[in-house]
Amino acid sequence: MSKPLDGFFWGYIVALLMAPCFALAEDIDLFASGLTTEGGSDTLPNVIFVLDNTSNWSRQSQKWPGGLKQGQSEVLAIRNTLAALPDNVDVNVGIFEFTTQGNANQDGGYVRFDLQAYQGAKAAFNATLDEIYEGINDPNEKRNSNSSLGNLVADFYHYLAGEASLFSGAGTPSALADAGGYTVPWSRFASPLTSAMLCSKTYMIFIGNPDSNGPESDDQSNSAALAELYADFNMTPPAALAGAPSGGLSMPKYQTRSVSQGSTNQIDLGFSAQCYPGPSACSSGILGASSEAASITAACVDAAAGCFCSTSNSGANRSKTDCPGNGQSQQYRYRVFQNPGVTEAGGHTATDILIDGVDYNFDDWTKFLKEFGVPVTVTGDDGSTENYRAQVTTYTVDVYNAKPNALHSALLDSAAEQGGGYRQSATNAAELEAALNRVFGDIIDINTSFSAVTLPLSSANRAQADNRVFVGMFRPGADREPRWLGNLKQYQLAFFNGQIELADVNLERAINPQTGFSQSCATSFWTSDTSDVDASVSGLQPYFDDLALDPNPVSTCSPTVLAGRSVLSDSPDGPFVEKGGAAQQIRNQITSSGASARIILTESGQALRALSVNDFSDAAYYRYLVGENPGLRGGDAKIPLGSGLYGTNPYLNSTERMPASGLRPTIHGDIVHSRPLTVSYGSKSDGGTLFRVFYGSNDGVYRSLNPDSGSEDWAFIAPEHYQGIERQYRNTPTISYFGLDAALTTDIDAENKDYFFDGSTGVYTKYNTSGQLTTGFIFPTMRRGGRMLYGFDISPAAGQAGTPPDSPSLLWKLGCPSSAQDTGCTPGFSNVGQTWSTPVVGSIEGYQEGSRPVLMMGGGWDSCLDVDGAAYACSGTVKGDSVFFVDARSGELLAELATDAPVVAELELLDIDFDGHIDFVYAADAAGGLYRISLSQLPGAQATSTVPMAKSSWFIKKIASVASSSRRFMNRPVVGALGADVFVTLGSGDRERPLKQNYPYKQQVANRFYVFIDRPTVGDNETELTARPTINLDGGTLLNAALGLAPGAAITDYDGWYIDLLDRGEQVVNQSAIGGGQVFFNTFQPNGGNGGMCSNLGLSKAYRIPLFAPKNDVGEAFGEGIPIPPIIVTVRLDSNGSSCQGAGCGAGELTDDVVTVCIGCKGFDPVKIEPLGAEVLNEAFRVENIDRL
Amino acid sequence: MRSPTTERGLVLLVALIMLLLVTIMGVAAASQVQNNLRVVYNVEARSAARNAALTAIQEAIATPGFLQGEQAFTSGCNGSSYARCLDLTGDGVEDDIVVEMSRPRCISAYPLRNSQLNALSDPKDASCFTPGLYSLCAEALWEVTAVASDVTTGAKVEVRQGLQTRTTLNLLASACS
Repeated sequence: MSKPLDGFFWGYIVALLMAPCFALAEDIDLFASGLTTEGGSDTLPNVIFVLDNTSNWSRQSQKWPGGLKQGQSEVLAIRNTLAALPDNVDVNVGIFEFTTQGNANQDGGYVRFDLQAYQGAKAAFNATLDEIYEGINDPNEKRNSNSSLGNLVADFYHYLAGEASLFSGAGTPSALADAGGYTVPWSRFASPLTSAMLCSKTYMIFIGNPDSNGPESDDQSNSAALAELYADFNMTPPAALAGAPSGGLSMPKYQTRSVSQGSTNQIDLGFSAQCYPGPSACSSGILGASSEAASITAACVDAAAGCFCSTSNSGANRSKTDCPGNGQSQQYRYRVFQNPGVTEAGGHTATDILIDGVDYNFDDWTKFLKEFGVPVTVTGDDGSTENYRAQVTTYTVDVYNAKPNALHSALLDSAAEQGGGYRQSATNAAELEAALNRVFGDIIDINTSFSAVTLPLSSANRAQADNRVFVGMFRPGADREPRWLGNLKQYQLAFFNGQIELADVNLERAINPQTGFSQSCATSFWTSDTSDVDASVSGLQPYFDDLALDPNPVSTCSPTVLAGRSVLSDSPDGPFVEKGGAAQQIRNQITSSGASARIILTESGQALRALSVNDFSDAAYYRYLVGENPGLRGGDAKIPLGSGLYGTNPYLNSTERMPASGLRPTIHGDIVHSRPLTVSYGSKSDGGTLFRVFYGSNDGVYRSLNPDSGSEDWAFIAPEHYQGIERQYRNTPTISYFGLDAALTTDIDAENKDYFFDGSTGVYTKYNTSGQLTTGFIFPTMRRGGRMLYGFDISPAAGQAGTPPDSPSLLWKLGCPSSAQDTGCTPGFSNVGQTWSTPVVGSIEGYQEGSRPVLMMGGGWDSCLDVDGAAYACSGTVKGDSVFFVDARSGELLAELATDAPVVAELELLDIDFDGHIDFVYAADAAGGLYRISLSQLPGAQATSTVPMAKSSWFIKKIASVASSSRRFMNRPVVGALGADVFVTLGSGDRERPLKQNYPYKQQVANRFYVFIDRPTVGDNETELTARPTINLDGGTLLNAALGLAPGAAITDYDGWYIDLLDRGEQVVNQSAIGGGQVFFNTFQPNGGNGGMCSNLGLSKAYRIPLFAPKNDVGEAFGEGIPIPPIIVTVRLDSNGSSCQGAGCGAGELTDDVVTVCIGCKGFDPVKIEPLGAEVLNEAFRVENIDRL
Repeated sequence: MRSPTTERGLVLLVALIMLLLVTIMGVAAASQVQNNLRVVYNVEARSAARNAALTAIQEAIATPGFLQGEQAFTSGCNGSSYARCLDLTGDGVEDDIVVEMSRPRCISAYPLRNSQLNALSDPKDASCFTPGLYSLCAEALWEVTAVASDVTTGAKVEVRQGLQTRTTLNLLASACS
């Protein structure tokens, strides 16, 4: 019995040990770190500078400091920013400008510098910038000041799309234009977006110079051109365009203020247009007077502009020209001054006033470019073409000094906001450079942060009886935001030209072989068309219209296949995570009054009850969780602003868009590591299997899903997870990925990602003789979400075998509620780490004669494993370094057997004599140790029957270990017993270190895949077994598979075999699978990728090696990113009686065949497993009947 | 000495009888030969039919998809891939014997346990291995019936052939249930 002080002391020590005092590394870093620098030019971001080369770039009245014109500072800043790029970082750069010749109406754009890789074209690019610098006042370089921006950006679109230029290129200065940007100079552009650049993100950086009259209105033809682009999607522009009286995109009203009120160096604006009786009347008169504004300066329309009239009576400062009165009543025109150094406040007005920007199309164009992008057609290696849309992100830089223009600033703000970027202002050369640096930093970051769209890290699973494949998926949030989208979708297997592949609901091929993810036209089960849903205000619209999701989910499916469906409909959902699937069903689970109809449970007092609004500190969190209210837009707590400072993000407290009806569109969070679990209840009356799908998602809840409809049966949120909902709701602080610059992390207040029920689910089921479920328990784990383990009873109600209950009941919960300390731990479970090890359940003959199911799990993850180093960093008190045996029904701790390091991996159970009771359990620890736990004895070499051992005699034995703990075991050891020889298969690796910056790559850990042969037969007793030496897995008693098995030798002559993973940083990140005499496993290496479309997420490889006759194998590269774990399943492709023939079958075909396939052995491409030489016929007997005449 | 008058003329009679007998015998012999010939023809026809049946069975065994019940012959006749027409007369036209083949019928099957496999040394056996009690493979006994009919003679032979095969549990489930 320890003293309370001891408990406190140890709790304190543990708290110290477990507190993460370093940047945490985890597998999601892959999607966001922005650290990849060695990609080929095909992954470079495209950055096109659009220069506002109107004569405003050399306006005297701006009083641009430093002796240069502001346009000269702009090109200098571009030059310096690019010159500062490290040699190993490259971008594609281009310059686009207004045409400068022709008549005043020919205000299109021309390509000044065609888009190309900067590092190789540095000299030419700089020469172009120098030319602009020198010619800043040359009529060839600049355009008249009052030019509208709409046509410039329209031609920018034409350039990217490779279409005809406006006015047939009239006005293009042929001496300056880059012929490389044209197919027909200067009437038709050549699109710079080649198929090789498809993976690049495209950015427009608009550098604007305000005109004294503010931005020029766009003309009707510009509006018509944009409307036509929308019409191609059967849509109308979301807001009115120039030419309409009102109803355009709203722009934030800008208010300018002076920073210096000094009386010197005032800017002389000339005499006032009106006559006034005195200076004060003049001062109040000029402010807000439109006629004054027109004649003097637009900047004076606001009091804050700092305009005032001269109080001097000298002749130089007042004039009575054309003014009425005489003598004392003589009125004067007063000289108007503006305070010097007037700078623009860089923010919205305090009242958030919005003004109608209907006259300006610039922001409407950037909105279109961001949401719908530019069409690009690429030709694949096989000659097939595919259409993509390259979406363009717009950043704007507002350059001025003395003469900001509120309307101009507003338009640039709106254009950046609609274009997915942000506006910055710059009032001197240093700020200009800082602004460009900031944009560049973000571009280089973002380009590698968004690439996860095609990567389901989550597992696929499916019920064995039914041909249903459930795929959990997720997409990381944009801009490191913590609210991620996820979904659960259902597909099926079908034959395509004799090959089994994943098919969608229409039996069309579901997977795009180029991307390894859903084809753009694939439609998953449960997905329905939402081309026309009620948008309340404007009638019927597609569901995703104007929901402001980033990126906007515009389908790239061809119009022929769409057949009238909107590109913003749920169907076809294709590769879009947020479309269709379970998410679509759940967001429609509402009552007739529009409230949430979901059943959300929580736990209190060791029982389940409905979640209540009082469970949260703020009702908003509750309403957000159930989906009735939108979350906040959030983002980085601070955002970069004009003068090199961070300012508060103005969007922190504005809300997301909500659809007219239904729950919020982001209702379904990410399924990152939780493998969906299916539990069959029995047969349905109308055929098929009645079952439920269980999984956790990181929106906070654990779900039970009805696979017939895709709707949520019930959901559960653990009380330990309440506090995580606030961050989901606020969508801030953003996520601090490994490798994110430390200073930046502090500046924007980034934190590690929150997880909830992120682990997989353990299960126990018992069926009656009719195949109906009588008892079912499920045990969801939390992984990084915490140290608790919950047990739910999902058994049918009494007397209703085979029917899912309306809601589950709680069996128990155990573990520790806090990650950092041991207070509140269930007695006996304080050594539980984060629950990473999915529980496995079986009966043990030595416990209650096998009548009660026993739950077995590894202790879990200790944060010492977060240290990024090849050396095993855990010492002292470490959580998770044991294996727990728990009575699954009561939660009673039966045994805790110690290991040398945390057991993160799932345990493997082995019933070697097939009597239905578990005899041996295999466990792997994070320091490369392999253990056998004996629950029975196996006397003699023949594995015919085992002798059960009582609970007190269960013992653990470290049977094998790697030579160096830099090889970690994080995955379940998968075993196959051949007689009394147990083949234990597992590979070393650390999926939480997926980057080149992490130790497996950086320190070149040579990982291996092992097949160890364990021989658990006892000669006699425990002593004999424990006395055996621990085998060195890297020692000479294992065969190096690269050498192969000598003729005549058997693998059982060795203690097993291993194979080296030869590529740098290559590691095993999943469990293996055994089938057809082969062992299948996947590896991942962070060294770039090849063949994938738009990501650089590392390479995944598939291995299949004969288990009993190993031979050398270098693996087969098949995709990018962390591969899904392999599962071997046997499925009947039930044709449901309507076996189709020939053309009637469509692309896919269902037959009544039963096939054994591995899903995950090669990504989503199913690998058929067939024994060799089956179906060879031998003659057995013959009977001849020759008298039958 | 016997009087000539007492001698009666039997010679002719005897001769006639003998002639008759000989004739009868001759005729009988001829008939016998004819009958024997017929028997020989019949045996030959049966033999040809039997050979046709056996040939067809061998051909069917070697035909892909036979066990799956898809087809017995790649070049069937009479509009069926389960009928095979053969040429007996050597006139180059396959119209003399028709063999009708049944679909294979599974008459017994049992799954192979992993412990019954010689997995360590036989790659074929190894490829059946999968963790658990049973392997991926099964042993199955199939029966197929071939009926050969001679179109000209009407000779008909039925051959029932037993076939033993290593198959997969998957195929067993659909074919042997």
